[in-house]
Amino acid sequence: MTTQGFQTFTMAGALLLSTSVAAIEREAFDQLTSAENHVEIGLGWVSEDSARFGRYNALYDDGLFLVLGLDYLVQPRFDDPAPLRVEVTARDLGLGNRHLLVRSGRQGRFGLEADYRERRARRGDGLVTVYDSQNRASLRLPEDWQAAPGTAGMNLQLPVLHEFSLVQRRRQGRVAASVNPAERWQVSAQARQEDRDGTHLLAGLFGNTGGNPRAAFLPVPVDYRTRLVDLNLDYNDRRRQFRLAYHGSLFTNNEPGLAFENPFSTIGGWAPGSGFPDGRGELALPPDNQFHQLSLASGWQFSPNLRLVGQVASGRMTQNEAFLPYTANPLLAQSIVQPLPADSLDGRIDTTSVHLRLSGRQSSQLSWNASYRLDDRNNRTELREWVYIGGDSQLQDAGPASSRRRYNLPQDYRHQRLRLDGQWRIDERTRLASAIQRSRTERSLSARDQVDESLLELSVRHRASQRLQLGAQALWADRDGSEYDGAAGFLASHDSGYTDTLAGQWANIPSLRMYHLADRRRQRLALSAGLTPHEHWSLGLEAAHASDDYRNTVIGLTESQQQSLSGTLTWAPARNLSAHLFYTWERLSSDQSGFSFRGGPNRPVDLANPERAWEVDHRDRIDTLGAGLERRLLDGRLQVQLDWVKARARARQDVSSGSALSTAPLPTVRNDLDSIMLRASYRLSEPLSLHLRYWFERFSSDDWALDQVGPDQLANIILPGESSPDYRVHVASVSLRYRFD
Amino acid sequence: MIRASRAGLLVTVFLLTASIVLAVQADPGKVQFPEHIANCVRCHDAGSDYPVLEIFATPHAVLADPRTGAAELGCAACHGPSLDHARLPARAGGSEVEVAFHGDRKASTQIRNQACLSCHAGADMIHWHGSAHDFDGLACVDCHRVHPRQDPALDPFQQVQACTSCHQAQHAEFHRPFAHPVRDGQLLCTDCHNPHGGVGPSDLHAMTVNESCYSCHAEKRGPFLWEHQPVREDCSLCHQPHGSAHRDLLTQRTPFLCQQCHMGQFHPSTALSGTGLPGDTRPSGSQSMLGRDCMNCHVQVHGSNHPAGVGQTR
Repeated sequence: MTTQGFQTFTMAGALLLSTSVAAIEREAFDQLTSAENHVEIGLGWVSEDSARFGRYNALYDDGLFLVLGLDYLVQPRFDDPAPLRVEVTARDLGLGNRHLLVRSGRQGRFGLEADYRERRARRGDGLVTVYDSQNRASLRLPEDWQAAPGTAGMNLQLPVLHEFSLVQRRRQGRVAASVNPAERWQVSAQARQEDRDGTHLLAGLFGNTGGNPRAAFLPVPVDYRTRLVDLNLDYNDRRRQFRLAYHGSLFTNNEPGLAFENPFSTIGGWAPGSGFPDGRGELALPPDNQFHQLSLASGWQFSPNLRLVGQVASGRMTQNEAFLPYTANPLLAQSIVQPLPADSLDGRIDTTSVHLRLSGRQSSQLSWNASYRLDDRNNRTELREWVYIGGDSQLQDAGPASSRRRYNLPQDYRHQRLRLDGQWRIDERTRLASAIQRSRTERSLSARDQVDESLLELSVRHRASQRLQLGAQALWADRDGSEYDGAAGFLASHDSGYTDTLAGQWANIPSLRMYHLADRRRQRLALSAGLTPHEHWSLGLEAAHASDDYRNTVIGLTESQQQSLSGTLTWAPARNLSAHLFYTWERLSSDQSGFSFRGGPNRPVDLANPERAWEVDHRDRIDTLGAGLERRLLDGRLQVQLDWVKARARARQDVSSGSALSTAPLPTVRNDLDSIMLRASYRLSEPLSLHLRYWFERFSSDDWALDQVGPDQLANIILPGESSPDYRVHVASVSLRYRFD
Repeated sequence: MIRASRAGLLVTVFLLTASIVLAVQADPGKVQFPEHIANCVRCHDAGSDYPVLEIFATPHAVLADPRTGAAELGCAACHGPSLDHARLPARAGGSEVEVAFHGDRKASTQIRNQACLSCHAGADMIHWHGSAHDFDGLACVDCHRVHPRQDPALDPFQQVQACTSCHQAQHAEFHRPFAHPVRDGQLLCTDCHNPHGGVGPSDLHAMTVNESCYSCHAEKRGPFLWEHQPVREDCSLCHQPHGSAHRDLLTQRTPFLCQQCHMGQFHPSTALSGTGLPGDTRPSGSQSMLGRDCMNCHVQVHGSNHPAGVGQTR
């Protein structure tokens, strides 16, 4: 028999065998492929209240909670001619973080999805305020409030103070649909609405210079709604793909402002009537705004080894919330001779984004990328003149030399980047990659109109053996730009009638370089190793050193460095047993320098005195150690999972100064986290399993800005009495999970 | 030669007829597969080390969806026709499938990925070619599992673990004292990043960092009357999105962070140190250091829309 004949024979034999022998027992097949539907019900317990522990998991209150979940799936058979799939998932129904998802569809034809998600975040408990928060939009002081020029003369004790918590709730509903009207085409749409309500914390300030501020913290109402809409039209074949998309985001805030009474009596520098009992102020809360964006993404396969992908997007951000008045104080408002130039901002920023990438593969040894990126934001908001009243505490000064005559700065921004990547596979074991990149950033009304950066990257990966892989990566970048004019923004936002009267005509000390505009030399070196000493063991190691040298900065951030070491050890001797251990050491350090100077006639004297210079060395160290274990026992009936984490963070600031200034050490800021979670499930019978969970977490911290700092700590500011968090929380839960068809 | 071919043809016709007869007499206790699939599951059955049959519970095996190729090609849709393997498999001394995805004889990354990209090239995958993961030589199956019911990369309970098994630095950052709630399961890596090639920096879905942040923090979008320029430009100039040792995910401790850009006369340029800590009596301490430091007064650091909000105080 010829080869061809034999092949025909064996193929036919295989076909026969396939039909006669390959039919698999349905019971075994169903066990592997049938839908797993579960309902879970149980009880859990939290040992103590803790806002920080429960800020994202909704376990902030002590006591019992309900464990309730559902997985329900109607899964069609693989050979169903009309495979309709229905999926219902419910998670954490007994908690403030609950999620319900319903999904259905016929594969290849259409899909529908709806979900509801609720998240509660508690960010602080036991905070205090002098205000009665019954009317959330207008905060009033108690009837018998005793005002004073500062906190020293006030009674800032309970029950004069009102307690409140910082709790926010996000409720999100989403519906999505997709249809495949023809082969290779898909139309999809998604609409999402998120309602966010609760309270957050801001200070309400009175005062008009850095010399006379008075402030009290307020419970600020949150009542936001964000609607998101996405529409996509997709086409996809082997050589061409495109997506035409619309994205809309509409934000509304039902609380446009927050008015509050002044708890301080009128002090020097304030206009009469600014203080208690007539004084009142108002904060503008986030304005309604919208963003609409159209984009076109495409991929073109010109040849098997040459492909272009890209996306072009054009968007528009708008905001036209009605302005609040210059002052909420009717007495001060009487002084207004130059009213608001507009009722609302009519703010608009047009955005254009481009991302193009040409990818080529010259051979199995050489591949490359050439890419271009554009991020352009054209701020079309009108530049107008405003004569503001500072902190509801002064009369309007509309004089020609007034420092209160200001101009808003609708800044434009344009960032462009060109990048070329190349990769050579030197041999089967070694790969070398490099990149060269040039970027330019242009800004208007800024200290620096143009910033350019060049970047080089080189990396090598080498497989030394089947058990050892090594890698190294080096990066070098250098940034410079046009002349730095630190006074540009200051001059553009003030009237020349005022700035002409100033010596030097600047606000920030001229030798300051803002770090995002400053000359910078960036270097990074990273080494990695992957070791598999045994088929059950693997070890990954990484070490990195990165530094930013702001080489021409005298005042400001002068240098920052980051060093890290990390390692992960994994052990997986069998399918039913695996464990891992990881450790990361990070050190983040930076140096900044400053120069303390006063204004008026002291300014030239101070600036000439080098002993008024100061420096801060920041030294942060973070250690993270963790381990995990997964084990299946008793022929899979018992599953145990253990996760343990120990994280330590220390942040130190060392301040030093010249002899003209007085400084003292600062305590280290400390955050310690210990967390252990144990989960076990035991299959009691075929449909029923028992689930146990125990979680212990301990967090302790020291923060010099918050600890032992009560509402009356500062002379001019009524603080909310925050403290750095400390907690030890045990969580335990037991639940039964029932599997059904 | 002609005689041999005829013989083969006759045998084939006979066997096919027999197989049809057997198929018609299907045993209801057995699962009947189309022939081209049956040939594979004859060996790759329920007793297989790798859970091959679970694929029949996944979208890839739905026969009615022509996009899967399951009805037309079966396993060959991804693994190639593999006729030599069908005749004599590798473990019997024969051949491996044409496109093997795992094991010592796996195909090259390009060939393995092409099997996936022949269907998954559009929508969120458009930017795969030349993306960071593609350029690094990652295969789709390095993250995804096709045969099992649960793909760890798509499972919200496993995805972060799957990503951080390589991205160790980010894994550590999620454990920092101030972090987005990734560790709490409230956010996934793919909520912000597109691992198949994002159009934004760091493979973000959105084209800019700020557009990505605004998807959850739309209240910070503005435009505002009084902008804070770096905030308008890039949130990551002040915030570390994965986690920080400092509150509000700031890159550095305030008030010092503020003083890196604001060094005016009087209080902005003051050398703040331990001299500003609480003293033995009350009131005492620096209002630029205690409580919310600079934000005790400059509360609208993300921008203010109040006509008097010039210094971000309204």
